[in-house]
Amino acid sequence: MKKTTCDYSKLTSFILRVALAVPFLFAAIDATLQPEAWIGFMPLFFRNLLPEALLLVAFSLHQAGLTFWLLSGWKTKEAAVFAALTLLIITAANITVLEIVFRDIGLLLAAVALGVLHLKK
Amino acid sequence: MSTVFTASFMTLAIAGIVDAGYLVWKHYKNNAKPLVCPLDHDCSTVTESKWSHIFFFRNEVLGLLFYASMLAAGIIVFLAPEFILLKILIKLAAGGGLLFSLFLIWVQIYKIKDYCFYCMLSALITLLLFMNSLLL
Repeated sequence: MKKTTCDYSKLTSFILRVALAVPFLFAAIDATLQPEAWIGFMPLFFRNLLPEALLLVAFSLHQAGLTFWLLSGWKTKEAAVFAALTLLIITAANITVLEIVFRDIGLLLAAVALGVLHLKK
Repeated sequence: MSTVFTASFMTLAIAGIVDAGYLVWKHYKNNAKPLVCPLDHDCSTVTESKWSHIFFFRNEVLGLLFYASMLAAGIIVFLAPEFILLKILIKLAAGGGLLFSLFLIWVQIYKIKDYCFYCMLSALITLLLFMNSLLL
């Protein structure tokens, strides 16, 4: 095998982007396949505002869009900010079930790390 | 429980489509920039080698078709969970895909003596797809 000069920041960025994109994509698909398992995580305020089915579809589309944005590598810093904000809202809205969403805090920090990694020097 | 595994199966299939799709897009797009490898490696040694065509098709095109058919099968499994024959076919297809991936890894190590990041990633996705197919 040839030896390569390896830039680990690119690999780190790639791993962080995949680490964030995959859970978003899974959540979007699973919420579409079995909405009854996910609607409970939607804040009551939004559930009173919009039909539950529409709310889940809209949020799934948001997450799917975020997935492809993260994977595209285009404006990664901005994608990381959007991902962090999404995870912050998910965590804050479901803080009463911390035993379920505590790992989202780790994902949130991963999004922050991705943003920091892409800050211009 | 099965629906969760259908969702994870579809997630992996889409990940595979993105991976193979990126390689197809880069190959067929005119004046495309070189592949962006997270390891800063020259993937074209592998992707443009004489082993890039098997069964008259480019490997990434075969991969794209494979992942797209897995996604379509996952959707059908969700819509018709009683379709047992399809679940068996998915397991066989995913197993075949895994064997093909192992063959391509062997080619990279012993024939080309180089590697491609996206090809290795595709092999990992296929392995996970196969494991997931056993849970459908």
